[in-house]
Amino acid sequence: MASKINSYDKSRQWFDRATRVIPSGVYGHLGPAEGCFIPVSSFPLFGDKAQGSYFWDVDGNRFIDYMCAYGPNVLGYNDPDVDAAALEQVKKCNCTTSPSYKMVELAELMVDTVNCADWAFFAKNGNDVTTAAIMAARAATHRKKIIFVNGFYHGVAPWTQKVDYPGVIPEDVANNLYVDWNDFEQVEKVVAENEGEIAAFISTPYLHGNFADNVLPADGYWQKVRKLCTEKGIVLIIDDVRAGFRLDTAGSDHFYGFEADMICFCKAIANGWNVSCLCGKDFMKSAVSSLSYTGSYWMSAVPFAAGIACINKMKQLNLPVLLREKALKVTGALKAAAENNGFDLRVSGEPALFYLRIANDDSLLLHQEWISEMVRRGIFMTSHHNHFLNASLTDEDISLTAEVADEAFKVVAKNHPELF
Amino acid sequence: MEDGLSNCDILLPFSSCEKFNGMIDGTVTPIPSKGFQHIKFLLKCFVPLTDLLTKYMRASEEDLADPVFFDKSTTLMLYTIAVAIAQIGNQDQIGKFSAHLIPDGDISVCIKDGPGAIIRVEDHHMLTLKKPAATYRAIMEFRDMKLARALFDGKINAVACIGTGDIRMGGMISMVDNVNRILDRVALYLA
Ligand SMILES: Cc1ncc(COP(=O)(O)O)c(C=O)c1O
Repeated sequence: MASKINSYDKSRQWFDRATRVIPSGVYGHLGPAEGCFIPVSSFPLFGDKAQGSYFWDVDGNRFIDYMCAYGPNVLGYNDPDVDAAALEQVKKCNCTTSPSYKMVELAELMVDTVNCADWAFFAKNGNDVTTAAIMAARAATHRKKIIFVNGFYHGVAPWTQKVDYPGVIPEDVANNLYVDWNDFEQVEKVVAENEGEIAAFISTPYLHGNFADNVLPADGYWQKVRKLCTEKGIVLIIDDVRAGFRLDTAGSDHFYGFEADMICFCKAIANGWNVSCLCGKDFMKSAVSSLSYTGSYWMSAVPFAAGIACINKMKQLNLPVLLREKALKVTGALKAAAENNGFDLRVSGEPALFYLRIANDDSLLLHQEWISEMVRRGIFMTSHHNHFLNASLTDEDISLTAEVADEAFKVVAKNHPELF
Repeated sequence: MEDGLSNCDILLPFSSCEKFNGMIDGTVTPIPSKGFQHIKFLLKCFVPLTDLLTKYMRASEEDLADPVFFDKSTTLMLYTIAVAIAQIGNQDQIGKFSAHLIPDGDISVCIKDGPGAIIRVEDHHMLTLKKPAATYRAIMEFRDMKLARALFDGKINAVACIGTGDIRMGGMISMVDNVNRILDRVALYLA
């Protein structure tokens, strides 16, 4: 059955209005430039409503959403348990002079849930807590330098950016050192060359960079890095903003069999209610206490209440196992559809955050065409970034995804008689 | 438009971007450091040539009102910027950082139904070719001459143009992204 092809007239109208009053219309990862809407005419630009695994755009097109708002949607949009907890809290208080005791309850839950956590510090975005972690590491060690893994993304604060980005000055990144993923010898070398100067090693639990196949840790990599950091007094920070809870509710360091000194969470904590969290070991607690670091909305009670409900539900569902099973079904179906049509579709990374790439050409052009045909038919994916699964995705959704994938592959194959 | 540094006849060193701009403005006469046998040519032809360059690169509103002139001037700007991108990617300290993140291959920088250039990257070294690309690993295509002109003049921003569809990008976006970062620095030299 041929799928309906979306049109986006209202999206375009809203976007035209947006460009008049908002820089670049929609900036950042949800916008057409950073979000790699290729071509932009295939993608919705503004949404209207969402439920479970779907969102509807302003033209009324429904999408099965494999980006999940880039992670926050972990249980399904408008999860009834999480939203009930949030709405209950709305009636009592949210952003108040005296923070609600809900903050303590969520901190206790984080400490009970996350393996390396002796304490929890809350903010709003992932960037807030990666920055808190770096500042705390510098405060604790009185050292300047930070080791990053090439292909990293830790947010948008100047220290996380690159020297050639607009608005960044060389001094912002002067103390950044870079190593390649999974290359322990390089880490040893950089540590030796900067003996006594390195405050922290920051990394995601595996390499989930954009535009490139995602790479899991090599056997023993993390254990070696952990040992070296301990020996050299380097604070080991795991940025679990993206993968957190989807691999292991006790933290992705736990999943890979090591312990971080501090770990950053954000996206999956509260199913879209805005809260982020830095957790860490006892020896880092006083450094975090010493920071001058806070924000107007960081202690709002509604996201705390939502977070408590969400974490309890993720644990009760055994979310990591559930997502892995669903993800393997999705990627299995996509690979089969690709093969049936002569495409070499590569799947990489952890299943719950699978990354896709058509490898028949070396330019991503075919891949971008296929993603565009998927989106036009109501399956929302991106061509440059890992995808995200949520717990409400059904077998029916997966079957529909597979059907549309087959149709989309056929369209791309037909457009390229020179290749197929 | 191949890399001008290795096999040129005359080398005009500019110690600063002010000096280069000065040449365009006619306030600075560059001293050639190589190719003295051509000095006569230089004295006879270079001054009129820079005058001509100024006419096209620093075009007046009046001249630009003529559509033929407008197209010629914008085409020249496209080529100049494409060459500058390669030079800055090869020479400028921060430009080199961007180039270092670009994988090998051809990037097509072109105006739809108009002129185009290829920026060829090999082992993080960039070379500009003055011809449209038949095949490419990444593309940045401007909707038309007017749009390209507005972008080159710094009146509009590339990120915003992607949303409106005025700039089409495709292929290895990391290539386009890093070329755009170098493009940002072109203004430092060619403003
Ligand atoms: C690994 C990682 N770290 C940090 C961040 C920044 O989080 P936020 O956008 O909430 O500031 C992100 C966001 O995508 C991320 O994926």
